[in-house]
Amino acid sequence: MSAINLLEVSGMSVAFGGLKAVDDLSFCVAEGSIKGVIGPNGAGKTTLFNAIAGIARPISGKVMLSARDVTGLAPHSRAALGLARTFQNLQIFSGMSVIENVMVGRHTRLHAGWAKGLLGFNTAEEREAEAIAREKLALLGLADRAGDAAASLGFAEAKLLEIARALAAEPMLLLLDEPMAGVPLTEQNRIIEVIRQVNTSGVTIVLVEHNMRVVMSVCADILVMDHGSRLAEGDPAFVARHPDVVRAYLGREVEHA
Amino acid sequence: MPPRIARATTLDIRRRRVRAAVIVWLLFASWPLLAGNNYVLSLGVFFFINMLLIGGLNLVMGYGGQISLCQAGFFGLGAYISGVLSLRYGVPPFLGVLLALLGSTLTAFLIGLPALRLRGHYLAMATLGFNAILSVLFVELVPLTGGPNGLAGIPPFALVGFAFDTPARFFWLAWSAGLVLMLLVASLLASRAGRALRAVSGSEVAADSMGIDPFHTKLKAFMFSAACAGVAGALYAHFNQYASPETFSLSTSVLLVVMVALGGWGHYWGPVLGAALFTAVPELLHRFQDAELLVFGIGMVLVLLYLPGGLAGAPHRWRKLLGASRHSEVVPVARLPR
Repeated sequence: MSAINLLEVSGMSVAFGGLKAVDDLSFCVAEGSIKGVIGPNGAGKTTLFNAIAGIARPISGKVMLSARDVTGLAPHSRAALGLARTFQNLQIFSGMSVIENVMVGRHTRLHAGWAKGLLGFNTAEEREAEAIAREKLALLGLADRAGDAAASLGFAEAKLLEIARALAAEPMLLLLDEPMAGVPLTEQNRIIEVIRQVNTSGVTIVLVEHNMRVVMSVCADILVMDHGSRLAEGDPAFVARHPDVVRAYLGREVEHA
Repeated sequence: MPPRIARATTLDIRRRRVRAAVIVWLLFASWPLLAGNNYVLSLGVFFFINMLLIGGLNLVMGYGGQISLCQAGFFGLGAYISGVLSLRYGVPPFLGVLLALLGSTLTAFLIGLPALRLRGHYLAMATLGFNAILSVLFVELVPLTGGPNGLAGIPPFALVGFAFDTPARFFWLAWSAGLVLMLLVASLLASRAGRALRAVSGSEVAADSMGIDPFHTKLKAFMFSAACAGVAGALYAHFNQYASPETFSLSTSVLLVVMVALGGWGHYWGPVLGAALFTAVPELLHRFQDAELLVFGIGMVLVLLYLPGGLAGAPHRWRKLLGASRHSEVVPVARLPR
């Protein structure tokens, strides 16, 4: 493929005390693609996400976003460059309404600072932000919950809200951390639909997911992690047949893979 | 049929709050008629001054989730800046109020710069220390502040030749200042900056990932809160025409934190209710020395246990207990700063 790499992770290690959660990992995500990241529990997938987003500090290695080294940047600076994410363990702003949560996701696209906010010189911006937030909520089937307290949402709805909030930023790169976990099947299909639709509109996506059906059907390219490093990387058929992957998942050699 | 709240935009909520604030302030405007004498009338002035203090603090604590124990310190800073400048250097009071605002804002910037870089209770500790330092300065800088005897003879506030030198006149100045704060906060809450502040107190990690700089957001809230206290202090000094150090002590700061909680942590109307309590309760209990501390203490415990949203959160809570529709307007859930 001649596509440009939107995200490049090279030689990255993240350690918690003596434990290397991510160990000398390198991989690329082509612009416009959907990359799946799978691996057994504790393989370091969420830590990898945190390091890409800037929340976890790697002890070595580099993160390049659109050919720009963002390794030393704070999470909010990376967000300003077009990176958005969801959280595996929900991080909803529970004191705000559903739509306000989504509007927070729009933060990097808005401009009014404290002075304009205090004086109310932000009416046009607010109207637009709210329209986009409603659009994203509708996309995820939460339109009629817009005015409710975010704390009143159930687990699955809160997961959908996280996706809507990340989409409100209209990011270049979207990191989805196990969006299907704990979500009923009908909603899973909606999420798959949204992932495809958002990708078609030009957003590059990295998807951490345990649900193989989803990963295999959505991602053309999959990175398999185990013990913080790369076990295999390639298209779904290749990865599914890879002996190391089979061993890591099933715990033994399978003859007739 | 009332419009469904699910359709209400944040701008609708802003409009509703502005309308409600204007109506309530028009009701407050009847206080000079109701108040039989200057003493009762001046309680109205103190109510608005307290509201500025508690309203500013509510942004930092209620919406931003940070505890500041220095609101009385900034109150004093504002009072002494404007008081000393007008009394000793002949600076016109309206300019003094402006300088009090700038001085306390700048001071908050300098304290917040190191203290807000760290997460957790560092702001609480740093501000606690700073209030103690200010209290010492107010007492010790005798040539400027008058020391423990206080600063007496501060000139009344005047604007283009009109002196606000009676409670009846000053009332309108304090009344306007309170209304301005209510309108500013209503706007802020329906803005990018206001949402950022609430997001930071909800989840700092998530806010950061959405592109919000938690440090800058908290710093600006802290500076705004100090600005409110600075203005409150300057108004206090020119109204009272006297300022004494114990008014601005750490215990006042603690009481103001209690008032934010009693009034309603992170509620738009919380500071109005908190200021009403803070102004009225000590007056009602005048005969029993220091009884208000007992009342406030018990009130704080009861609120924390049974009414986490404070008084302003009570209607919402009762509605919820009565099983009202889930499409009710969101009243932010009070959360304790961490």
